[in-house]
Parts: sequence; C-alpha cells; structure tokens
Amino acid sequence: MAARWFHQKTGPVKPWYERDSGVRLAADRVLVAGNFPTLAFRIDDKAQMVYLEGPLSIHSDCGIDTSIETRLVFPRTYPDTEPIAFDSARRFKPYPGKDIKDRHLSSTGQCCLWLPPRSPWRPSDANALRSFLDQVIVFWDRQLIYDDNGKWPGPAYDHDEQGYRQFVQEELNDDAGLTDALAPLVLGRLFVGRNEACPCGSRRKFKKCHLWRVEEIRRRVVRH
Amino acid sequence: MSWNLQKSVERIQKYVADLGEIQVEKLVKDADLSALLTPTNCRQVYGAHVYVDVPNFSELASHAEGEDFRRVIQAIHLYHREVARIVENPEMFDGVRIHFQGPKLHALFFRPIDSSEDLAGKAVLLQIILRRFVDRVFNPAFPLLPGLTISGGADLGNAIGTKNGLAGDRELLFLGAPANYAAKIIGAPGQMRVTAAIFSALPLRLRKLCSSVADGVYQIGTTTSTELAEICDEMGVGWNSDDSSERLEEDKRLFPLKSVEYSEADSAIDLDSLGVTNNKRVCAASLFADVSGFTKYVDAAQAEEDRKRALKVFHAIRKEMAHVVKHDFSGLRIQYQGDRIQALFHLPKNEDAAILKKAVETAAGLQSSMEYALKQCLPEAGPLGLAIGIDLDVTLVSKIGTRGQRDRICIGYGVENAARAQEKSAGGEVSLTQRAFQLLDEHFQPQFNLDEKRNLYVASNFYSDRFERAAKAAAYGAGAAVTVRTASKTATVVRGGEASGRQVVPSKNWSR
Repeated sequence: MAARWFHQKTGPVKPWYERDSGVRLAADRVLVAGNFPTLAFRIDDKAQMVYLEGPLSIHSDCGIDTSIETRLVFPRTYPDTEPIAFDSARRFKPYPGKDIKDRHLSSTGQCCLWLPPRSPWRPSDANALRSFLDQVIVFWDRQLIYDDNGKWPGPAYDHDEQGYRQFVQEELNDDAGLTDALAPLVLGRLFVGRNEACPCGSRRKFKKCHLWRVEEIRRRVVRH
Repeated sequence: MSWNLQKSVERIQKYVADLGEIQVEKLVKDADLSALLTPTNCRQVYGAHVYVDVPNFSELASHAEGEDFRRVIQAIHLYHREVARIVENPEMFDGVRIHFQGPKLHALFFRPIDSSEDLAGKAVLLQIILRRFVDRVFNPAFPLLPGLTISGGADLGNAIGTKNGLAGDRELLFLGAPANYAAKIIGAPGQMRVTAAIFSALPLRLRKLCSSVADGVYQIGTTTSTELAEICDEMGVGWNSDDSSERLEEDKRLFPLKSVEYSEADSAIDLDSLGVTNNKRVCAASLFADVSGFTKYVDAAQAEEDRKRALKVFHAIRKEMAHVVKHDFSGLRIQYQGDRIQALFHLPKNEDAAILKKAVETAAGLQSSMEYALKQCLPEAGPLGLAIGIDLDVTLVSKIGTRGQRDRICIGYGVENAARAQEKSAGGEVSLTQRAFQLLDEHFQPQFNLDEKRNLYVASNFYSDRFERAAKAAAYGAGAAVTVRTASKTATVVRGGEASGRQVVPSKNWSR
C-alpha cells in the first residue's frame, strides 16, 4: 500500500504507449507494418493520444479497388480497452431514405463494430490489434455491399437499448418471456430486493432464483 | 471467365496503339462503301437513312412451333432476300443495305452525291413500296401466316461511315444524328414516317403525301397504284409488284418449306454455319448496350481532329465491348448497330436463371470497362456512358444474305424487349424487364430498383465489383466466416475459409 501511495504522489501515470518502455506500441507497430502497411501511427504527446491512420483499400477479384480512409483512436486505457474505428473521410453517407445508424456508423463516422458486451477484444492477445483491423476490413466490405442495395449484409442488433435487450434474450437462451421479466433488471430500469419474489413468476425468492444470472449478465453490460 | 480491370486496360491500350491514323474525309464521289470504308478510312456521308421494321416477326418467332415455326423462318429469309434486292438493285433504288437488325432493315441512299431531293424522295418511296410489297405480294404469298404490317422512319443528313474490320462479313457502321434519329421516329405498325429534314427536301408531289404528326415528324399517306407507278417512273425506280411476286415465287422454289430446318443448341451456336436451311431456336437472354450520348458527341465534333478523336473512342469502345461479350463471358456478339452492340446468351441450355445471370454479369463487365478502363485510357470518353437492356425469351437465331454480306439475326420478343429496355435507359444504367428480374437470383435482385414509369428494374453504378459483392452478401447473410488477406496495398475479403488468409467471423453489428 505504501509503495502505491508513494507512486501516486510522486508523478503522473505514464501514457500507455510509454509504459514498460513502450513495448506494446512497439509490438503493434511491427504488427501493423507487416499486415497493414498503408496505415501509420501518429502520437499526440500533448493530448497523450495515439492514432492509427491511412487508407484501407478493399480489393475485388475483378481489380476494382475501393480505398477507405480509416482512423483508429486508441483510448488512454488501451490495451485494456479496444480502439475506436472511424470512417475518417466520411466516405459512407446515409442510404437514401435511411438513417446513418442503419449502416452502423454514428454521425461522427464512428464504427459500431459490435455490441460492447460482445466485443471479441482480448487485451492480452499479442495479435489483438490485427484481429481488430481484420474486423474493420470486414466492416468496410459490408459497408460497400450496403452501399449497393441499402440492406445490411449479415446479422445485426437493433439500435440503442433494444440491441441490449436482444443481447439479454440471447443470454437467456432466447426465452422471450424470461427476457420480458428480467431485462429491466439487467438494464437497471427496475430494482427487485433479494428476498422479493423473482420477476420470472416462479414464486421463489429472487436470491434463490434468477439473482445470480441477472447479476452475471448485468456485469457484462455494465463493464462496457 | 470474368472481367478484369488490368486486362481490360491492357487490351484497350494495345488496340488504340495498333489502330493507326484515322482519316475522315467527306465523300465527294460515288464509291462502293463496303470496299472503301475501313476502321481507319472513314467518310462523312451525306445521305438518307431509312429503317423499315416488321414487328409481327418477333411475335411469330416467339410463339410459333413445329411446321409453323419453319414457315416463319422461310418467310423471314425470303422477305429479307427480296427487300435487299429492292434496296440494292441499281435499276430499283441503287441504295446500300447497311444491315438487317433482326426484322428491321437499315438502308442508306447517298447516290446521287449531295442531291437532297433525290435522296429524300428515295427514302419516302422505299417506305411506300415496301408497304405495297408486303400488302400486295408478300402476305398473299404466305396465306397461312397472319398478315404482316410494317412501320418505318427516315432522316437525312451527314453521318460518319466506318466499318468494323477488314475481313469476313462486312459490317458497315454509321455514326451521327440521321442514322440514329430515323430509327427513333418509327411509329406504330402501319405508320411510315420522315423527319423535317426529309420533308423539306422532298419534291412537291411526295411532299403532298406527307402530313405533320408531331414536332418535326411527318407521316407518309397512302397512294393509289397509278400514283405509285407514276412516282416510280419520275424517280427512275424500276419496281413493280408483278416482278417482285415472280422473284418471291422463285425464292420459294429455291428454298421450299421442307428445306428449312431448325434445332435447339446444346453448345455455343456457330453463327457462321447458320442460314435458311440451318436455324436455331433457343431460350436466350438478349443484351443491348448503347453508348449513350455518342450521337451528340459525334455531331459536336466539327473539326477534323475532333472527329478522328471521336472515332478512336468509338472503335476502342466497340472492340472492347465485343471482347467482353465474347471472351470474358462466352456470349455471342450478334451485331454492331452504329454505337450499339447486340449480344446473345443461350447456355447452359434451358437454364433460364443461369443464362440471365451470365447476361447480367456481362452487363456489369461492360459497365466496368466503360467507366474504369476506357475512361482511364481515353479521358476524352468522359462524358459517355453505357445504357444496357436485358430480356430473356424464345429466340430465332439465323443468318441472312449472301457470302460477304451476311447479317446475323435474332428475332423474338426477348430481343425486342431488351432493345426497348436499352432505349429507355440512361447512360450508366442496366435495365431488366420484369420477366428477367423475376428470373434473377435473389441475391442479385436487390441491386435493381423498380422504375414504375418505365416498367423496368434498373441498376446504376452496376460494376463487376458490385456483382462480386452481391454474391458475397449471401455469405454474410448466412453469418458464415470469411477470409481476410492483406497485401502491400490492398485487403481482400473472400467467402469461406482459405489457408492463405485469416478467418474472421463477421461480428453482429449494433448502433447507439
């Protein structure tokens, strides 16, 4: 405890890219240079932010390539927290008559790659950044398909909280009735005491019925 | 087999480099155009362009079967033979049969050189005579067929004449407003029309036969036999119905119904082997691709250098379109029709959906060549775009005429509908008829949007990469894994797992 107190009092915490002599950034640089040579790191020391920027060109067999300006923003909590990907030149616009959300992009160009609790990001994986960029490439590929017909190719959650509700239902083995009862608890919209009746209708106390399951799912939601 | 950007660019660069110096001079004296014109030796020809169509043939070719179908084939061949004689015989019209576009004749009158009155007069008289020939000679000679009706259109002015090659069957090509507009004013069956340019050049007697039906369009009225004979005498056109009837009967003796054969096609049709005794009846997708805006582009090219540049662009487009159809997608190039190409796809036999998919993939290849390869090699082609129409139906495929002057013909509803779909399309569009759309694989259908006004399913920016992506959409839809491969400059996503890449399970996306 004393050492920790001493550390906190004597100087600022180093940004992630300088910790351990910058070993993580160095490893990521090698990974990017070997797999995505069109991208380059940029460090803003003043803001202590790191960016990975450049074009990702999606190739087709016929030889027509589509270049998409891409930016990854590395949060200060990286690598515990995943980077955030952006369509930096705002290449992708809302499909006529539809919302930008329908193509899983925000108005700032941020990519909604997945529902946060479903993130495949593994901080300790040395190839985590490569796997992340592979997903970004697949995301761009799907954006190009969406451009062609306005239909998102492949599975997607509904927007906003409804997506989380679908996640809860998946976790509850697609039991719609149970989801109706428990989703408000998971999403913090309802509180039930440990000794109250479980909302699932079993007539058992909550603590002896679904409390543990609700807390487990809620932990995954809250973490993100 | 598929289209590839790099190969397309290399082809076009080679063709442009090999093309040689183009010459475009005004035609100032009589000449045999099929001998004079080459891809590089072109002429500006002042003349009257005439189109005469027999719309019934398409209906007959699509519906008749057995002996009736053989009778239709015999009628088509004999009609073409006699009409070609009427147009080309020096004692009759002394004109040029550019070609038959299926049942539609395209003829040119340019003799006497620059004589507007004579040329316009011939354009009107040919339509009157062909109407008389069909009514009085042809229909009575084929009593078991429904009565044929014809329609026509004619325009007068300058067009640039060129040719598609030096060897084999000739294909004269004419570029410019009169060669285009004459076909556009064709009206309903029975209506024969001319433009204001023809009308104003006509001798008074013929002008009196015409009445205005629309802005700048005039309709040719009826004539009595006596009037027609007098007009023929005045114009030195030696046609009469008795001679035509005799020639037709002689042709029927030469090519009796029992000599007419037709069959289906299990393998690619050898177009050169076709003729009156060997015809094909296939379920086929017809594709028409037209260089939208090219007529204006040519007409705007007033300076000699501009015309040369326009012709270089034209030949590069023409050559590339033919290569894409024939070699990239194993289709049949039926005909060049000015700045338009007609193609046919009939394999695999009787597999309508697969045939249509091939035609649609070809359309994507043609659009890709135009937008990505041609405009890269020839930036002056920038304002141009391809308008493409596709339909599928039973089609008669044959070849008419004599050696060296033979036309490949396709006749049927599918051909007519594809041509009409193309004519209703703008540059950059691929249009499908309702029947064609319904046959299209469900993964490709979302690429096309219904245009209710045109009653067509239309796709814009439909290139080969988009065709590939439409196929890939199915894999994404099934939630299957894909493979990502990265190289020095590009990243490729392919369907399924491959050893040479990294397998990725596409995420289930969400939006906040």
